[in-house]
Amino acid sequence: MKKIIIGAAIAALMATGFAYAAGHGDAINQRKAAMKEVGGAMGAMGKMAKGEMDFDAAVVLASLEKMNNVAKTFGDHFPAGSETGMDSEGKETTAAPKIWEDMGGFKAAISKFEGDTAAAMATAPQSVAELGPVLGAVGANCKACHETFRVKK
Amino acid sequence: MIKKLIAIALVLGAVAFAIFWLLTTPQKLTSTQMAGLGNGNPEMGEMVFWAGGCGSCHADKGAKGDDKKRLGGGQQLDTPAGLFVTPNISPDRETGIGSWTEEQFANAMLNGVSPNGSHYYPSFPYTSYAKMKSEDVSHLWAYMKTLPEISRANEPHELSIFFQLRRGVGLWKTLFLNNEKVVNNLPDDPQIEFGQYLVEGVGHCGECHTPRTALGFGGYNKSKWLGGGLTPEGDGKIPNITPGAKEIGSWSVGDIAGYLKSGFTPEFDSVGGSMVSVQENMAKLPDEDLEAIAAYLKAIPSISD
Repeated sequence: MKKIIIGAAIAALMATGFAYAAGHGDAINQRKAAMKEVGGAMGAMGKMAKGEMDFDAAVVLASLEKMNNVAKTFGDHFPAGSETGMDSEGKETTAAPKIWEDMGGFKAAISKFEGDTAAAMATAPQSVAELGPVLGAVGANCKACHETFRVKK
Repeated sequence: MIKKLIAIALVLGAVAFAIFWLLTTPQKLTSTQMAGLGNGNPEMGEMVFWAGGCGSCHADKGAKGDDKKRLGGGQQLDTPAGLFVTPNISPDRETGIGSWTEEQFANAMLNGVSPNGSHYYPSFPYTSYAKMKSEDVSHLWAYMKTLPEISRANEPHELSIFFQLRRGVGLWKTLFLNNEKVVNNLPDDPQIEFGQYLVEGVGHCGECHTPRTALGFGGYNKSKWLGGGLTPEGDGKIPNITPGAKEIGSWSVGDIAGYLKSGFTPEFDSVGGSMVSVQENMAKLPDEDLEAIAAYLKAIPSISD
């Protein structure tokens, strides 16, 4: 009887362990997907700025909104325990340990991104000339955060 | 008998010491190098300054904009050889290099020798700067004299016991310090040649992007030139930037130059880590310089990831 209880306890512990690991895998998947979405939005606007794609004010606004939405929840994808691990494609997380050492600084960087994208939406650029400075202000957030909070890869 | 053995040991010891002393004698500027000095132009020097990225190590960590010109040093580089502290190279006379002569500056850049005649550790990337023309060193000196004087005395390096004998750096230099080109047999093209000068020399890209021999304490592993490696601080990887690289290998000349200018990859991922500071320096260079760098990177031997 004792053995069965111990066995069941071990099994239960292992199950929670797996669930735990899977949970963090999810966090890694979610943050990678979120960054891909931001990259896609940046790409659409960047191509317009470079003249590789026709300017479309609606696409610009939608792209900025997409970024702003990501910024609102991005900080939730870094629970304790998800410092290391892989996504479902088996790629290691590139989140830097610095995120967990300085969660306040990290969250502040994300809210700056949220604020800058909201401000950009308010200006609603109507031409490539207007898009340039907006893109510069929004894009500076990518680098600023990746300088400190992403590992070198 | 014992006296004889002691005498032989003493003689052998003296000979070994003499050889060590000769091999480790700090270098002096050649007459050709001397001839290039004395006509520095600060405007041209500013371009040398951005190409070399002096501020990435000698200004405050993460410095932006004009703060990159405040060269008070003090950044710590935690390496397997110990803790290096970057020196103050601002024109301050007391704590910086304001009292140096141009010859002393050129000897530091081209030979890694300090004004008092001792060797610098190669954490100061003079193995790359040795490939510079002394004219460009002269321009750089003229520009650096215009920068803000920062009064700041920094802590000395704290090196592991194996690396404390500065004179020993002379041996390392006899093996790894020269002013020869790294890549030979490149296509005969002035743009590629200029890119080679920027990348192999003042830009000192190979210092991080090329793995080293002897557990990281040696020189470049030339068979893996720009093939990527570990960070000097051991906290991540530095990418392969040869045509054989999985990611960057597929970039065009325009993509590479555009990345150095804007900080965005062709897929609109952004530059990160310590490359941010480097990219922000490179962005100050004219487009043709960035295109030359890119053309060189497309022309060098492929290293696969």
